[in-house]
Amino acid sequence: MADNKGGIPVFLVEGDTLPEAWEKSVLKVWEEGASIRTEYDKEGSPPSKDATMTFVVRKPFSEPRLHRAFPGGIEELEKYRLEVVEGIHDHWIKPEEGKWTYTYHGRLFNYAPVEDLSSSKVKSPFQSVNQIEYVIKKLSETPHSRRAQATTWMPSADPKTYDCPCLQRLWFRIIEVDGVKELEMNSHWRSRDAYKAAFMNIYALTDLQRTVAERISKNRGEKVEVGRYADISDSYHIYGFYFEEFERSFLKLVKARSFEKRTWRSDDRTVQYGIKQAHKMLEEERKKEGGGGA
Amino acid sequence: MVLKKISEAIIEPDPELVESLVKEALAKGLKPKDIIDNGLIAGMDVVGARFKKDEVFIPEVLMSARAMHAGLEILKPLLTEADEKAKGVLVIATVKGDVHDIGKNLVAMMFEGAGFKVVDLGVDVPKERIVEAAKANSAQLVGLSTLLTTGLESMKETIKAVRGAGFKGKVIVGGAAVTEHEASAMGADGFAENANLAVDKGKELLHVK
Repeated sequence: MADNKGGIPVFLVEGDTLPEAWEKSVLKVWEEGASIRTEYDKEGSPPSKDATMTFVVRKPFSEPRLHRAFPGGIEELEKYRLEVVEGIHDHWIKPEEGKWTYTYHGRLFNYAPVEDLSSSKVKSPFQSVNQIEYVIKKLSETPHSRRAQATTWMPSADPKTYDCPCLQRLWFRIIEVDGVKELEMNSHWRSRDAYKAAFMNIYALTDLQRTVAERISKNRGEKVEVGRYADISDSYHIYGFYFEEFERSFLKLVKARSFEKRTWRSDDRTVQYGIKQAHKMLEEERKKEGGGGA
Repeated sequence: MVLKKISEAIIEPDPELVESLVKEALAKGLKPKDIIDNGLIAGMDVVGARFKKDEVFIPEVLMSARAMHAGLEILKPLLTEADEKAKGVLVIATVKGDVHDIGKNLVAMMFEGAGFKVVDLGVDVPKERIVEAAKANSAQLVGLSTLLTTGLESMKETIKAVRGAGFKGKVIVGGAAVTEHEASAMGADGFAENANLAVDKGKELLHVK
């Protein structure tokens, strides 16, 4: 049990694959995190376990890529990937209807600061910036640049909203390893639900890393591989109201099953079926909504 | 033997295998109702029991339900009227103003696995559509979900509308934003903290096993 001496602990964990690194990070904060209250605590729930965490995935596209402990099905995971990478849910940014005030895709691909997020109809005084296009252009021209970054935060509006972005910034750089160019990516988070959100986040963001690497490869006419992914959170936490479930379910399954039995490969038949289903469902949604989405 | 294989393909979820095994079972002359009860639902019963004991991850449960659904898609058109008698009809939705559907989907699939007819209206559903669907499907249960605290008002309004329209069945609510106290205050008949409890609660409210 953490005694909080020394303040918020700072951890670094590493793994070859997404599920390995994520699982290590969650177990680390569970075992050694500080006990801190959050704004979202429920009545009677214990304080969260919290740490400043960096976890590194050495080979983001090594298999297995899926942990089985995320709060949804394969369809939801695939839809979330498409939400982040392709913006399929940007049309849900409708605060005036009680819906979302932002999506990560919207902020990264269409950044236009405003002061008021109460309505999607509020116009920005600035021209919107496709920050990912900028990153691709910058690194295609200057692969060693340190300026290839994309931000999400709007200081003019976000502090005033109930639900503001956890992801703050993506930073990219190309490095040559054994004669091969690799695109590395760091993601920086203000706050992070380690247990329920982080795995889906990294699954989607590393796919964005892949698409950026592919575009740079094409622009430069040379192979740029996906390099390591570093995930950096100021507050990486497990909420107190999840503790009971975390111990009863997650910890039990981690102890009881082999790594192979608590992960899936991307080419697993079940995973592929779920992905196909997600695309089918989205197609149906698009028809119903009359052509919205990507 | 083929029924056992179907159950196993539900337990270790493999929707494509379920599809081909269901077709094989039909080709062997097995009755659709028999395939559902002793293949699909038998497998889902095992998954449900394991889920209760925290022996499976949520995505595995959902994929098992998806596998069952794949089999049902083939079998449903072949069912006779007598076969189609479900334990009850559930109309389920995420309320207006909320587009989160993971919890709602899990509940829908668990009810289906328990032998209920489920009419899933999706997310961000206006109260009028829920009232209409409950009537049109002669539902015994209406299930409402919201992840957001901002959805609570909409949930309350929906319950009011459902009751106001003369719905005689039971309303069950859940989702991260809802507590038992709030559920009761807004006039729901039942509250469930998770998908498994939702099915138990639904059966309890309708007095079915």
